[in-house]
Amino acid sequence: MNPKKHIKDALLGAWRPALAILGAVLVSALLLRAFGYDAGHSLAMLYDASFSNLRVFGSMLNRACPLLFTGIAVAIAYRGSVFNIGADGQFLAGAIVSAWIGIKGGGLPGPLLILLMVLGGTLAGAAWAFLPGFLKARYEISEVITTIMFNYIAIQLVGYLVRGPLRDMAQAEPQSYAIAAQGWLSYLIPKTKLHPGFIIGCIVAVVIFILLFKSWFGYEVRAVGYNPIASKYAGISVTRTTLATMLLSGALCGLGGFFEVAGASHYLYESLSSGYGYTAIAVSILAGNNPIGVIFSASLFGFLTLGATAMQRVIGVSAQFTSIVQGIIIIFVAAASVKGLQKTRRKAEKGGH
Amino acid sequence: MNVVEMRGIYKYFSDTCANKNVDFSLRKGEIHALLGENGAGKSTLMNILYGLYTYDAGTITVNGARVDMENPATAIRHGIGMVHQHFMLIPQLTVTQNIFLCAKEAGFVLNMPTLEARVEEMNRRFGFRVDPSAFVWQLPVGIQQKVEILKALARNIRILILDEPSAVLTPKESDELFSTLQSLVREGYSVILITHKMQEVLDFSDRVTVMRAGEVVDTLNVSDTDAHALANMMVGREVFLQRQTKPQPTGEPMLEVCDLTVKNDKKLDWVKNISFQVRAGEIVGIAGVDGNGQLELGEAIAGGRTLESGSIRLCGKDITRSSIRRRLDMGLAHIPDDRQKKGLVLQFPIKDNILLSGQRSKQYANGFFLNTKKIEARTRTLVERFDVRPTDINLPAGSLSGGNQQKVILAREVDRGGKVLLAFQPTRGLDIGAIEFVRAKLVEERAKGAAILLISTDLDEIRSLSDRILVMYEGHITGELPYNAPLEQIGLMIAGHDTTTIEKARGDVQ
Repeated sequence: MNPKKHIKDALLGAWRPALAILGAVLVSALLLRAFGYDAGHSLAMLYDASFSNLRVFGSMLNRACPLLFTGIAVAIAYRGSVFNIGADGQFLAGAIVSAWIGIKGGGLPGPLLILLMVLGGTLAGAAWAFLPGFLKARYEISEVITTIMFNYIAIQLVGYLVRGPLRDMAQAEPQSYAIAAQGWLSYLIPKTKLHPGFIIGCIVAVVIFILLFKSWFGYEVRAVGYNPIASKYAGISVTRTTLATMLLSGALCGLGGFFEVAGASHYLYESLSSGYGYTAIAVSILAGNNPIGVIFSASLFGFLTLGATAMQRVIGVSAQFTSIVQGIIIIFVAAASVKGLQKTRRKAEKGGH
Repeated sequence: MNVVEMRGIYKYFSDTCANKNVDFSLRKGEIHALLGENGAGKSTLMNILYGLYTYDAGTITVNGARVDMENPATAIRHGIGMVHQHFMLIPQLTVTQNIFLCAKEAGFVLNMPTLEARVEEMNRRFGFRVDPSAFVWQLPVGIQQKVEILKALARNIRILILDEPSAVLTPKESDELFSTLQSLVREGYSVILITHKMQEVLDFSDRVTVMRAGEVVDTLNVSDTDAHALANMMVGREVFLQRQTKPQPTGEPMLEVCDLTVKNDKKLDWVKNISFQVRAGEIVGIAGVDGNGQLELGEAIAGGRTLESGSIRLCGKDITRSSIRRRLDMGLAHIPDDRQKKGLVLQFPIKDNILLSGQRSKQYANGFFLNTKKIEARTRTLVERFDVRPTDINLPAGSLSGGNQQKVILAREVDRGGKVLLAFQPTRGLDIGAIEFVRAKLVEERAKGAAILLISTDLDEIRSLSDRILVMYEGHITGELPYNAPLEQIGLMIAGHDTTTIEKARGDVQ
């Protein structure tokens, strides 16, 4: 395949999601009208919330950051036929360990502290994925159930820490002490709060893409994901590959948790993750489980959540409404991708005879 | 009186004719065996009678009336029931729940004590001992089969079709089954027995219809025939593919199997104390009817199934406990029995299927990264040399025809340069052109000095390729035959008659 054809295919691939989003916006506008809101004003507000100036644009990318990491994590797991519903727990595990290191390591110089937080958060995410991954790989226990259970454990663990050992009593709401100031990530653009998380997430997306499609490791992950039996007879260890996929997925979530703590919140609190790990599933599906596509779908979801707050604040549209819009977008894109599948199948059948 | 009358049945699967002008009749109160090799069309015919398959021409008469056999519900309404080789039971439900599943008599609200009492009553009547409240998953296979029979009887079935019922049973369970069937026919039931085991025909059946390549050869009274004649009818056809080669001088033993015992999925010993060798430059054929342990043997050699006891040596080195990866690296090439499940990743393009198992090798990878250029160049060469069509290496393997899928596997395995080739049903389901291509390649590899183990249920294939023939029956190697052994002799042996019985049969005839 020549590069030109690649670009052509990519463009052809993009018009379907684009059309789906357009359709979703239209349906949403109709819904807004039906509920008695000024649809035009509401949608304008949605747009302004992310694009009216550099400051809000930075906030939008920050919102997208946790979804970017968890989205890539879900995508790579999905390629290996592992349904990692536990991105939320792994994200929180990363956040907990990063925050703990950040709080306790006040005596360390900044770069060293940040390095420790990165390592701690990443390893914590991987560790949180280890047991579900091991049970799946070794005993074929459904990872869907075990990862969800581990989400609850992580959520309650955060609750315990911010109400108990790590609680900052100076604050009215339960939250942890702030991490040492030298551990805060610096803002990339003046007058914005844009931390490096999103940019690094984009680099990670490209790295994971290359790993998946250009290395033997990624090849084995995909082979096992499509056909574990044929992979086994080709000498690939299905157990080891599945476990490695899960650990990598968890590590990416943990890294996302680190960025949320060190870049955005600077402390731990109970609703640190507003269900990022679950939204990540939608983010990944919207991107066709392609790590690079996740950059765009995560941004879209960041845009929608930020816009939701604005619509609620200014016009009084319920924040739940954006959840509805998100749902509509997913349904539209899912429908579009099914159509696309049928087309490729027909093409393949034609080629076979 | 004929309870079933099938006339001029034709059945096509796309271009293949599975049943060709088949006439079949069943008398009231008889056990009628349907004998033939794998793929002779026995199961197809019975699936038509049971309404699972539609038929393209012909008529079916049940109890004197023309019936348009639309679906199994029609068949059941006319008193025809079928027990499949793979049971259609729900393991999580009890025996009683399974028996009355969907039965109208059970009513909308299930009264379990009443229904269980009815199962007990059937137990008494037919001489079964099945616990009505046991869960099906707890039961051994032999009892599960009885549940299937009870399920049919509870629907007021008078005509019972059994598809290779003894294939999954232990010898003791088989004996029980056949005494059950005999008591059923005494009560006026009629039984059709699909089988390829000669002994079942001779010992338990009243009449036998022999099928071959989709056609009926003959229908006979069992008392008027013998094993010798039946074997001839079953396999004695013109051989399409004549043997091209003569045995050549062989080299060192490359594959040595010693006292191998392997269990099947149901945890029964299914390969029993098998020993044999394959030398460099020879093709050893393992002949036998499906389900006699070939699958377990093949998987044990490939490394996909753990073995109970015994040892396997590859190129002189012990591989009994080696991983599949290690076996491949040591020179094992493997054409698996199920190409779509075990041999290919259907969603991957052809080039990635050629890559499969070689993704870490220096040939295709620079360290951690795949060398796309090398992979594509090699795939193009192989696609041309193995005549894979279409030649677009980016097409998913799933879009290729069976023959071309098999060529991709063959290309990959041969190209890896293995010294031992395990070819398991290498031409099953392929068209004649692909069959010839695959067989020619195997002969070519043999000429280059590969040791080839060919496991096949196709006797033509065994005879046209093998230098030595081992016959496998019920997990044992029951004999070794030279490449030019008469077809009839192989036919008898795969049906469970050992050579001594053949000599005896010959003596009787003379």
